[in-house]
Amino acid sequence: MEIPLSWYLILAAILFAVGVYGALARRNAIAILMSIELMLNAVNINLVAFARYVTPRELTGQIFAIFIMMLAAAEAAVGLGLVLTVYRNLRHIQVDEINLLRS
Amino acid sequence: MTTTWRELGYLTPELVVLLGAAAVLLLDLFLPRGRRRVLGGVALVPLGVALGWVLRALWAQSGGPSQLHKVFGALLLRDPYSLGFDVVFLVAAILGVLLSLRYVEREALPAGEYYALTLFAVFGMMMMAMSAELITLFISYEILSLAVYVLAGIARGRAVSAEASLKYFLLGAFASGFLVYGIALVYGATGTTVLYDPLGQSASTISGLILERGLFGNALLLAGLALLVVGIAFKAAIVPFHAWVPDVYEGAPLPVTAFMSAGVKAAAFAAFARLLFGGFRNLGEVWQPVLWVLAVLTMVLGNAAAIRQQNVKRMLAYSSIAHAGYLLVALAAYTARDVAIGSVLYYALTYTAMGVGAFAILLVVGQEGEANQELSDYRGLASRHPWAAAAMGLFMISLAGFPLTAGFLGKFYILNAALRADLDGLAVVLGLASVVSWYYYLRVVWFMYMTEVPKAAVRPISRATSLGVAVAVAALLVIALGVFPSTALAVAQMAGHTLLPLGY
Amino acid sequence: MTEWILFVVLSVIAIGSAVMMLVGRNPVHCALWLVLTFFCVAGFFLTLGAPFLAAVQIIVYTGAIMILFLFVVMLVNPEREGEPAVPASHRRAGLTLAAVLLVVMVGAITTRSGLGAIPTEPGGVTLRQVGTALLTEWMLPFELTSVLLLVAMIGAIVLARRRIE
Repeated sequence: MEIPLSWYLILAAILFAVGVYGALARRNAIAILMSIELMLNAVNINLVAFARYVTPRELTGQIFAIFIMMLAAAEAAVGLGLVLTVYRNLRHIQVDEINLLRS
Repeated sequence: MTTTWRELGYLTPELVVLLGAAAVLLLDLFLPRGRRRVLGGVALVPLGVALGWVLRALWAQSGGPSQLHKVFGALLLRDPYSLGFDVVFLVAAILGVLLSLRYVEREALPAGEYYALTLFAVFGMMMMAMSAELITLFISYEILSLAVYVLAGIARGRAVSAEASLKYFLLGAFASGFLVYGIALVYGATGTTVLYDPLGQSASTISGLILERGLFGNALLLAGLALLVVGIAFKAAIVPFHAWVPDVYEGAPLPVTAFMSAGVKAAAFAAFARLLFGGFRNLGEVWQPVLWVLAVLTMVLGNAAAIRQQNVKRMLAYSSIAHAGYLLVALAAYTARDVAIGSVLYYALTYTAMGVGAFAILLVVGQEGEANQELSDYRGLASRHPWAAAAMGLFMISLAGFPLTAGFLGKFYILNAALRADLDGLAVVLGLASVVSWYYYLRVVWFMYMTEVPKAAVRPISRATSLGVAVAVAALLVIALGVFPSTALAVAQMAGHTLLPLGY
Repeated sequence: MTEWILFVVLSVIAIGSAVMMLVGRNPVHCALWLVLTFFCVAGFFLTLGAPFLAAVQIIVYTGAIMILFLFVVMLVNPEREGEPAVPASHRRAGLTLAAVLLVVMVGAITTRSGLGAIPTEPGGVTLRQVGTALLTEWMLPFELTSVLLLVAMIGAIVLARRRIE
């Protein structure tokens, strides 16, 4: 017996929401970046499920999922580069303390 | 499906910019350290060539029938709309590079990477304006975003700059998450990612399927559209997704700020208009009220924040939010689509000239650095440096939207679109917001012309040729667009008509 | 029946380890929990008939991205500082937004008719089909991705390399 599409979509929504919470509530830049990676993974579950259920003859969803993985890799490289830059300047990576500009 | 050389030919300006980026990177490898200043000049070449190609293509179509080509299947559209926005991006980039020439050298930034990333960002913008398909649009958006995140943080030794770019990156990546989620849901609801087909050859597009299957109240589609709007609103710095703007604009190197405030915003609006007017035109009644609210919030809060600033750089940052609000008014006027799209394009071009021009004066007065940005540093500028003061005055009254300036005409056409679409309330808010903005723009003029400083406190300004050229180009553009608007307007209107040639 | 058991088990592990990643204080532990989630997502791809994506998921995410994360975690050595307690206001704001989003999404998913449908055609996409699609219909985005990766590479090098004067 096959699992209905909506189950996959709800699962993806839960993972996305967990990622959103993490990105907003964590202060450590690396933890925020991990939460964003989780959000992108949730979207990929959506895309692959849609590809299987909505457009079984076309690969649009799977192809897009591949592109999103490439994007996740690119974002991680740039993001971690920025984390290193901030760490070298300030010796910490807590986003809350990043407030030189506010003063 | 085959892509012919002829089709690739339509992408000439994009490919020229891309090859230029590669050339800059390779040259950087072979040039001795002392000679790297030429890289900025090298970067200007592909930008100039691309601008020439685009202007020639637009010139060839003015008066005659406009041309519209699909490239790579239905993924890209080479139409006057994308060409018109290419002009905006290329002008912003050329002015940005001119502002950078001395700055990059003085601050010892890595020149090769700096100019290459600028060109990559322009490439991303140009692809965004052409995209008629969501996956292509998204990847172009990310090329632009990643390049700009790095540019904002490229002054690695400055703590302010590093922090600002990290914040910008984290918020931007977060917004990208919403954007892809939105795209995924729209794809799930319709089964396609192609926005629309202006030639009417294919019905299996988002816009076609909404009509065909009657997806007007489809919850998945609407949720997807909402997430898409959030993702793009972030990039366009629309309230309430604008929290990053002041910090990033202040923390980024000044030439990068100038380039971002004009180019990135124009790219976001180019994609936004194509998305809403092309793909989701049949849901206009749904998204128009949302844009109405966002436009009011953006105009009111942008102006309210700008009025409180004593620092000219921060004032320009906040006021750029207000200008995004004016552009939103044009997007909300969707029942007067043809006029609305033209007014977005015209305003984007005028904002580029006057906005980047104002940032150029900041560099002149700040001696090419981040110094002297307080309002009080502009005391008596007119008697010391009349030309710089005159140019700044011109940019300020144009940004404020005084009659006979380009800024006035830009607002006038947006108001025209809003009134034609029966958005009287929005038009009134726009008018009031402009009147409020007179205060903080004219305050700069007042400080320059009506106040004096003792001789001892006078600080020298920069007399770099490249900055002078940038200011002159921006000032001439502002004057030309204000006094002879007909050519630019004709192009903008043609762009508006070709974005939706069928059925309207 | 096996599909249901597999789905439920994978879901529980995926959501559970995602939550563990959220509450964990030690970044290394967080990264390892996230790896477990990624493996479960790869499992979902298998059940959805996308074996190639499942392989790419494991290679790219756990093989490349998470290694990069761990590398940077080691470099910035977070144990010395620890993460400060999250202010309650932040936590409330995050929780509110995440909850609203979840409710809206679940509402949208369940009201849409036709989503309970099960696929009518057998699943399973071959590598050949993926490759053909990537290099014909989706060639342009594929090439654009290479530009994206180039930009990321230049950016990461510019940001992370030590100053050489």
